[in-house]
Amino acid sequence: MHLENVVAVNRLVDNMGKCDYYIHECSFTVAEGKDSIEHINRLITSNIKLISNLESVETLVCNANGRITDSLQILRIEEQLLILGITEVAENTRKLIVSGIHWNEDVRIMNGDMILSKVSIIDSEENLQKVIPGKDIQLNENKWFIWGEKYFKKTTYEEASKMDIILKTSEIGRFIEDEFGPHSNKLTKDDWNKFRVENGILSFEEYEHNLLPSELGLDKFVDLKKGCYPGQEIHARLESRGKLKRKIKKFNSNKIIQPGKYSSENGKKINITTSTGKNGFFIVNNLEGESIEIEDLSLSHEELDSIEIC
Amino acid sequence: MGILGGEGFSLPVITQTEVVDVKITVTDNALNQMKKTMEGDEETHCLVISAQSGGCSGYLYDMKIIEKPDSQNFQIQNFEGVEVFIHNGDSSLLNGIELDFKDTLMGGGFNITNPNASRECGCGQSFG
Repeated sequence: MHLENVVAVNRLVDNMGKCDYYIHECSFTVAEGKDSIEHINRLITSNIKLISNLESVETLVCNANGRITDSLQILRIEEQLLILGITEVAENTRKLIVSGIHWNEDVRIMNGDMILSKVSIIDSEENLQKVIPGKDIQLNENKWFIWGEKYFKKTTYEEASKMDIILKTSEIGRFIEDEFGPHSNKLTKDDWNKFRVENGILSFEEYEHNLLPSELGLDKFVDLKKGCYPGQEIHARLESRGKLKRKIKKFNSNKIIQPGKYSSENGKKINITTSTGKNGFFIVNNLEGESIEIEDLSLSHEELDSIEIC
Repeated sequence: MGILGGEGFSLPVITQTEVVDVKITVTDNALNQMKKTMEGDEETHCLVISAQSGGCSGYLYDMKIIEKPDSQNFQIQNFEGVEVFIHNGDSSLLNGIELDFKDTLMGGGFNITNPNASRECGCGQSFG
């Protein structure tokens, strides 16, 4: 089912309390101890030294060659950091985090996989507001809100809004049923990909190709003034005198195209990272305005207005 | 507190388990400089060489002369009375290093050559 249709249908049945929800596959790591912020800050591309309670920061982990190895959402909860990352690379990221703890630092790392989950509810802003029992509470897009043992954060996009909820995995079913009734719609990966493409949200499908943050348009998640972090030298060099060899774009096709690597009629190499059928994301070398022809298929393309990471 | 502070709620702690027997070498220049810096405090103080995450290449070296810590989690090597401590947690990263000292106005100071490093930062403080 098309996500646009799902959202439209939902608006008609608001009063029945249904919702569309997607359960993310992400890793959960908790860092605690008085030096945990300092420790994690040395590994990532953003500066989290001033992160406040219930604030979250989206950031990247890169290797020494500046290539993205993981994307993280770091949420500060009092003296703890809850770190959400990509499941497929979680083991490597945790190894990096644990192996780099200075002997004299107070840092403990814990694994929250299987125990914690992130669920996104997609609906109109008005309906999302109803998820929180205290209706007078206005959700702040920059801060998480705690209700009971759950954390909430709203993000507004052009066509729809999304409420991220972090909760215990064992409570997902009961929470959805209690709040939205038994007929809520669990979105598939394909549904979620449609939402991602529509709203410029990148995921593992984009990161797994050994790319630089700039190539994915993620410069806003890189702070070159924070000091050294793995990959910083490469990012700084690129910023001062580099030219990107390839770039992410959004495509629309006249026919269904699957993810994979293709060569166009005029010799351009393209890598379809996410396809929802006739549109999606792709990485391409130095492309100007021209459309791309691959056999009997024609791709038009556009820049991403805003790019987020999930 | 929310989810993480719930009563009876705890998550498994991840600890680094790989510990190897550490052997390092120290050049004459480095040893002389260490003795000079210690200024006769060898009985009570030691040199701790450690690694921590960060830097351009993934890990950063750290060297400190401090009062001897509880030796329980350290491996200790004695160089003519100067004790060098390396924490078990850093053992796999620092095993086999050579500590040298260059007495030059530019780029001088202690220098570590690490056989475990596949790359090093230009400044010599970071490795990966």
